[in-house]
Amino acid sequence: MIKSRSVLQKIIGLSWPLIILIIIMASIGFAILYSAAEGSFYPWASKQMIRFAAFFPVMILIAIIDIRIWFKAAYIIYFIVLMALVFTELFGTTSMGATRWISVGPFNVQPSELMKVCLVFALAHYFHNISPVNVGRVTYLIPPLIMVALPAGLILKQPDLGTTLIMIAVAGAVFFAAGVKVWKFVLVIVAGIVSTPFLWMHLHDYQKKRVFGFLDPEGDPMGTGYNILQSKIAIGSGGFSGKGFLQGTQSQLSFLPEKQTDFIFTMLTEEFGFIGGITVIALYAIILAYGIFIAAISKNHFGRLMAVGITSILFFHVFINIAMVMGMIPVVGAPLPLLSYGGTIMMTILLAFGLLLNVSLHSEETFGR
Amino acid sequence: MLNNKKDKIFTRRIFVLAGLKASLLMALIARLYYLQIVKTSEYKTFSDSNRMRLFLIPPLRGKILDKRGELLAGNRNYYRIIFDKNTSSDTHKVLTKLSEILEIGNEGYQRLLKKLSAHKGAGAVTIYDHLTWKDVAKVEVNAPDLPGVSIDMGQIRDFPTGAISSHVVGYMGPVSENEIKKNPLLNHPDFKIGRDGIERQLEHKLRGMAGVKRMEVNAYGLAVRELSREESVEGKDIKLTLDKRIQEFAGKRLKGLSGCVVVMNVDNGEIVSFVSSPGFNPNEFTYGISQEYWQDLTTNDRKPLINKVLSNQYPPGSTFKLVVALAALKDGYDPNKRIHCPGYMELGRTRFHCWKKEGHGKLDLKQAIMHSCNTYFYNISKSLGIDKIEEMAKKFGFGQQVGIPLTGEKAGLLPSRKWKKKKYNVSWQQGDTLNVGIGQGYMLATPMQLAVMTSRIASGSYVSPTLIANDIIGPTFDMGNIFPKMDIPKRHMNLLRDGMKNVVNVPGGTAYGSRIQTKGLSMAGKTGTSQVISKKGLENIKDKITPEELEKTKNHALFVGYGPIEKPKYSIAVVIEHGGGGSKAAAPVARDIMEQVQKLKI
Repeated sequence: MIKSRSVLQKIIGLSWPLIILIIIMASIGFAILYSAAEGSFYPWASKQMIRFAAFFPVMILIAIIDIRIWFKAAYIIYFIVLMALVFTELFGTTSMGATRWISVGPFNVQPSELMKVCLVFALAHYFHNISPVNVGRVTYLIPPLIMVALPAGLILKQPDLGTTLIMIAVAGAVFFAAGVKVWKFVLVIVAGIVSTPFLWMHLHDYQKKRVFGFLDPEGDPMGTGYNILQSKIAIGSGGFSGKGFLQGTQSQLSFLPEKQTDFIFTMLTEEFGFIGGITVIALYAIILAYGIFIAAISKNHFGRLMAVGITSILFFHVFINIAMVMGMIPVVGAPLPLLSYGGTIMMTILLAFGLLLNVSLHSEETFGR
Repeated sequence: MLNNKKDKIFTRRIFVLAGLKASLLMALIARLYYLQIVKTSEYKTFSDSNRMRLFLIPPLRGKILDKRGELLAGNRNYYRIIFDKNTSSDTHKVLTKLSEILEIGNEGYQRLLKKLSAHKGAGAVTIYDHLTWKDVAKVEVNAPDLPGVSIDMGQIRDFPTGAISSHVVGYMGPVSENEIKKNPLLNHPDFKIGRDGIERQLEHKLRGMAGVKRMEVNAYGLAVRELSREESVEGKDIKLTLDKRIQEFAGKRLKGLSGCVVVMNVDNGEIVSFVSSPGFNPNEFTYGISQEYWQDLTTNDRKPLINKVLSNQYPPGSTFKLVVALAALKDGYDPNKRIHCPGYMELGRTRFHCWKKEGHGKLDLKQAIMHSCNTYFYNISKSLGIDKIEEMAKKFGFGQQVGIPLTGEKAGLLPSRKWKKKKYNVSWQQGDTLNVGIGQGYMLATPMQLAVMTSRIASGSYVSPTLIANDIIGPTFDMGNIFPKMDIPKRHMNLLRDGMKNVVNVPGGTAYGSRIQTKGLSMAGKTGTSQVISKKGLENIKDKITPEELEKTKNHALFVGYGPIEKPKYSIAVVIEHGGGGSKAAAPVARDIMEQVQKLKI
């Protein structure tokens, strides 16, 4: 055990390269939001900057709190957010057919976003103490499966298919890193495929439409496929070097829907082209590699599972969002971390990075129960 | 040991995860490469067709002017209200306010709403047309209360002379589906097409060339900025030979009458005035003609839509005696030969009446013209025969179109032996010749033909009419010389002209009552009456018809003339339908117009 450090020492010891990457990424986001408002900080860029500035200290704070405190608090935090999900189900604000928000003072919060991080918390805590032998036992897998199933069910009911899928995928990554046997994953995937027709029947009409729209975007260009088609046109017409800052005709002339949230990558690549797109993907890759590196060097199991989970949250958001706007997968609402406009996602991602920095800072620590 | 195993599994697995993630990110890059590098030109095309729209700039239509450059058909700005579906939040509120401002009430509000909802999709919709200037001002003032409402200016055809010149100038109407198929450029709400008269005949010259502007539009179809512009080419102005002042004078003179007037310049054939009454208001057509007005036009028994100058054919009556006289003189007839008129002439067992029951007594040719004696002309026609009359009539343009650049021109009817045989399979009778000799029977002529005949008598040249002045305007161009002289001896013509002078200016002449009394101005002429129903026929039905129907049996009044007498410059032909006799109804009209023409020294 290493002797406890002062706050200053801890701050100096943070992974500053990672922090700088986060700041660069967020700044790119501000620039695109500025362009999305046709060259204005209002209404998106300014608000996004305020949020970033507000949550940035919180991120640092989370990073320097001793990891053991987080370890001990993991289940409690998970439980609180789970309750918030129940509360959302009962009293939440309904908008566009989905009940996702609850009001906390003047803010609207989506507990489902927070749940992604909290689930990683809880799973990391659970697997921290399970020996490799016990990981192999089916009975030991029942508690974590319940931890996944409860929030997944609640979020699916909101309904929010995108978040549910990301959460399950993230959980899968943590299970996998924890050492669950590969054949069990195969079993789950096969079971998943078999149950697809039954799931399909329970999908909402708008979700079915999205799938159809993905399969044949040109079939109904003014309907569900419109967004994908316009997004592909915007990206494709950007070409190698893009149309230039503030010059994206697709986005500036409103052909592109939701350019400030889900389709921000489209806007980026329309204005900055292939070079811009590849730069952003590369920056994400570096951040992800950094996260995996943190997982690899961490000496405590809780920390490295956290690192794996948080890296996965980041990865699945990035992949699903970019794949969606390029028409590779159906439209599922997944914002692009640090770029998309939105308070909850900014909060969630900065909290997650705070934990990742925390793991990095405490990578030498080892602890038991 | 256990932990060591855990570490090993963990390390292996995070590298598997990292590998998976890396390969998925590579897939994203591959997809990005495909869209932005491989397919980029295709998507650039899509993007351009998204954002660029071609807008037609309708050309300014050429004006139709009279000889002095006065407007007969021009363009006028008109205003319409455009509502932009995207910028307004509360359609109901805005439309309610708008209907209040325009004072069109709830019914008007419903109409606005209907126009708006008829337009599918987003974008700008025309919801109200043809605003008055006052309404424009009111809407502009209230603009802050009318978000999404804007006023757009268009061009509309305007005919300042209204119904008077309608048959010459024509009217404009909407473009038909068929025409749009042939020329898609015409598919623009501001495009109208010439439907009659000069507007139709010279459509290709008047229309001009449409311009095109390329606009960048946003997703709602609203134009954001102009990318490029190809200006439209204005249509050519068409100058007519008409004089608007005479047009309007003649139009007013014919008001309330059914008939027509043609005034020609006998030197160069220019048509100075061309009025068919009643006319129709071409402005009504441009606005989209109302059901009531159309009903009125089509059921009116005075037939406002018919161009009486060209499309109506009348027996020329006594005006044709001028041609018969010339034919006789050519045949060697002695004009001093006096013939007694007892009020009729007998041919076999048939009695052919003179219009004067008690007879004219002894007359020579000049007197016969002055008094329009039928008996005299029965006699000379009988000895002439139809063939010689036909030959002379042809020289004066009867039986063929005179050639005016307007539609619907009839050729009249100049009967002949051959024609009768062919038509009725009956050979020509001497009685037929007698009837033709006084311009009745089978004989038919359009008022235009009568004007041409008169012009040729007045000038002695083969004058033919011109309506479009553009082609003949030039400083050294003297139209007077281009018409060949007629091969008719001058003394024949002079005798005829003397007769016509006496008709109007000597007491006892059939038009003496309509002589021009202003000093320095004068007119010669010939009256005519074209029978609508024979006297016998009238006797039979007289008691069985209403007074209105009786009015319709009244003869058409005709008058042809020229002036001034010494040096003829203008000729005129007047037809007043059911006017009774030429001297009573047609000659006064001709007198007034000829007086005006000479006063203005056109």
